[in-house]
Amino acid sequence: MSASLEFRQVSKWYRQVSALIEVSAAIGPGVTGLVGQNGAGKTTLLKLAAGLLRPSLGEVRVCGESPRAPAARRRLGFCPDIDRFYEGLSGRTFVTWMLRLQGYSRASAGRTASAMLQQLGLAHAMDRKIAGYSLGMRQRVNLAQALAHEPEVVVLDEPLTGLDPVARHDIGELVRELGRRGVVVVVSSHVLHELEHVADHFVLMHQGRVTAEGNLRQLREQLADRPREVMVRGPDARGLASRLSQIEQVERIEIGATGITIAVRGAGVFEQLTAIGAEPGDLVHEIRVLDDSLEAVFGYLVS
Amino acid sequence: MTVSLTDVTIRYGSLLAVDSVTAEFPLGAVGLLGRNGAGKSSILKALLGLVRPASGSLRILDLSPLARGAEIRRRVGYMPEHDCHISGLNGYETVLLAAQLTGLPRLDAARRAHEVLYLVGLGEQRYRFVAGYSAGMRQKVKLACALVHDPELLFLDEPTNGLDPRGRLEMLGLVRLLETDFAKSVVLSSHILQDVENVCHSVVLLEQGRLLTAGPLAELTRSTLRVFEMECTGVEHDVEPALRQSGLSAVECVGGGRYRLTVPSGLPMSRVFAAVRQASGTVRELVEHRRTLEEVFLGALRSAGEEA
Amino acid sequence: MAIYGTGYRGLDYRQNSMAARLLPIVWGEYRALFRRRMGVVLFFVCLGPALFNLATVLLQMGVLQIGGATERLQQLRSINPRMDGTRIEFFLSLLSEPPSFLAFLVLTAVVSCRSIAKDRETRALEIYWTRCVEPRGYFLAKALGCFLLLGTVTVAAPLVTWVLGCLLAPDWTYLQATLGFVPRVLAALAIFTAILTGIAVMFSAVAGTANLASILWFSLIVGAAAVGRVLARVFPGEWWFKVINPWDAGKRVAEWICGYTPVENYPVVDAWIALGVVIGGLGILVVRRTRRFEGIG
Repeated sequence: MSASLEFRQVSKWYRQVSALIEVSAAIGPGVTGLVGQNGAGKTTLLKLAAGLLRPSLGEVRVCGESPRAPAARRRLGFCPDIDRFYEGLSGRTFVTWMLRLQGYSRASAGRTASAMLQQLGLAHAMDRKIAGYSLGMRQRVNLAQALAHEPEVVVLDEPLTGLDPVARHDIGELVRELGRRGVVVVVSSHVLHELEHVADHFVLMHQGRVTAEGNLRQLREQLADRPREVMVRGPDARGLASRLSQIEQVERIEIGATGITIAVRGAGVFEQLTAIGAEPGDLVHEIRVLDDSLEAVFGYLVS
Repeated sequence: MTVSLTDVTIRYGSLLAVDSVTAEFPLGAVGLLGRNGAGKSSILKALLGLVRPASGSLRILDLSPLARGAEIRRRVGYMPEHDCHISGLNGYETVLLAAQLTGLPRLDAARRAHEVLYLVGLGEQRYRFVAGYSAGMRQKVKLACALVHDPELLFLDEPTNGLDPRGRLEMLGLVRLLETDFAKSVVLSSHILQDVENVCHSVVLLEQGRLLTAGPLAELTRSTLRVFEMECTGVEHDVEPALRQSGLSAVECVGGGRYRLTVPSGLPMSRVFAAVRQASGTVRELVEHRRTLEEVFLGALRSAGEEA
Repeated sequence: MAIYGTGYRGLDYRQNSMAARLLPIVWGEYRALFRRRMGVVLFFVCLGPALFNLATVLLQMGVLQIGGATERLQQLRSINPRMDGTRIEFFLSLLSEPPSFLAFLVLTAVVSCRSIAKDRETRALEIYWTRCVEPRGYFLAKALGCFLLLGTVTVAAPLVTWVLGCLLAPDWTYLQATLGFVPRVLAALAIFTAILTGIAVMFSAVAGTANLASILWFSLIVGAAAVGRVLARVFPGEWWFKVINPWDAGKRVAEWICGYTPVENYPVVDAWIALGVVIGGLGILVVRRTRRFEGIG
């Protein structure tokens, strides 16, 4: 059964508090970003995927099986949002134990653990006790235990918390590489401009439901009917502004210090901008779409 | 200058935390960057007068931290990175105590605590115990404690830690507001470089106790060549040759309809537009490429590593 | 949802004196116990011995009338000076009897031992050090707050008992009988409380967690007392062993201040030296431990 993570009409509640309401999603190979406010249900969703929780209604399927089945557990790696481990163990011992739990033999567990930790940059520190690790090192150990057994489905809950820019860059690269190799990766993060570079596909959650799903272009298109903000710059601001005001899709023009911001609605704007730009007067030097980022899209979708 | 360091060295026993750093933090928002162990927190401690440098001199708000530590702490607001709270108190009482410890008279402190809690967006929750707060609420209490005594200078250490996307936007918006509308100087230390880019005008970058690079962001991120990034529709097959013929120094196809163009000085941009139009395409975005702060950071670390 | 309601305003104020800045710490420490219901209950339980004394005085004055209690009390008074409200032993019973010993021990463990250690646990020291208070001031303020709380039980309660006794007596005999020693006794109790609270707060400043501080406190008082008594039994005549625990040493000092000669009359100097060693040793540890830069991580 090829690698996949599916949620089929999953609902979860704790006593009276409802965490998830009829969530359905099918996540395939590649990196999928999970986005939502606190309390939207992201952590619950990830814990359901990892088999730590049972759904109140509906089913979760990891590679076709329940995540609680041993076969599924073997194919899944979970990196939770924690920073405390068995402090008295060394990094290598901890990851080796986790591999033994997965069924590796003593010798191969040791080898695999060392290789994984080396790949994550802990070669010099893997035999020190975890109690002495910095936050970045702990996060690498966390990733090591999630990835060492070469799972086909990887679930990462806020993997970049507290990491410095170099570590963020390296782990971002690592996640992208996993996605390229065909692993099903689900990453949740609050830092949306970083997530944008790491994931191709996004699931947006709000108040326990999935409000949108797709890649960034598809998400943008869902908002096709709202006005978008575009900034245009050129050497002759006033002349450019008067040309722009003639475009019928432009609803509002604002001339600011950094350039002219126009609010546009509907299709065909960029054709007209290109036409204006191609004119011999060299009117347009820069066109920048201001609210196309994941951050902006998310903001619109939950407001 | 709000802060200036001259040849500052800080040791903890045999551990060298800061090694002969000379830097100046201009007015406004400054980013203090560096990996863990780079010496950022040591410098903040020294500026607050809590640790004595082995050599060198520091001046903050034109005062010496060792001589006038208490006065500096009255005029500086510090928002720590770690979770710190006083057990048994609710949000309001915590901010009130912070105000009184700085010397605000009781009535002023009470009024001010409430005001500041409204500003950071902690409504009814202020009457609950801080021990039970979520991560975002703790951040807000810490910021409130840093603002309650109306400091001129703010040290913010990872202010967006644990905040969800909306919380991050609010926090950064608040920091920008404090800097632009209320003329406060801010020293922002964060690992999320895009936040620093959005808020700060200049940065100071440390690595292993030494100063790697410092200066205004505009200068550090300036590209030496005039490079533009363009996104357009249209068949690559047609667009790329059209661009090459339009007189550009270099055309690089990045994929997904994006191109990196090197534009020689003197070439009008209209040639680019015309080329795309000619290939039946539409320009959707055309932006001058600046090095991101991440590139500056990683580049500086790399060259420091090579020199080592 | 954030409410950027009233906007940000500047502030003009005149900074308070250092004492005014430290006062909230004192007051906060005093109130800390009463925030929780269990704390209030514990406080009143520990007030038990003092309330017992109060009841004794009230019975003696005839204000309180309980069945055969007044006669029984009459009998006990002649045998045991501790039950006689006009005798110094009555007021000093706080230092020698198991119930009040236990009450003091537990109250100190819950209040004084937690005071600074709890702040260290929740990293609150970072908040204090980055404000306008010095570590020395902080330590003294915490100790003062704890002293005031413990003093409510050990000094204020006997004072109230005595005043009530004077006011409720049919004539001035009670006042005449007790005025000679009561002020000194109260002073002695205050100094005793201060010394022991100081030791507990020093443990709190040194230990990493509140629980550890409480354990150290119990070990020192109870453990040293037990060891001391055993050794004193084995080596009769060697008073040192009785004095190695601060409670007994403090008690001897308090008795000396009152001018009271106890049954086991060993030299006060021994007690002072024992206390000095404990306080001196702890003091050095405290100075080394509360270096300010530790506060910020």
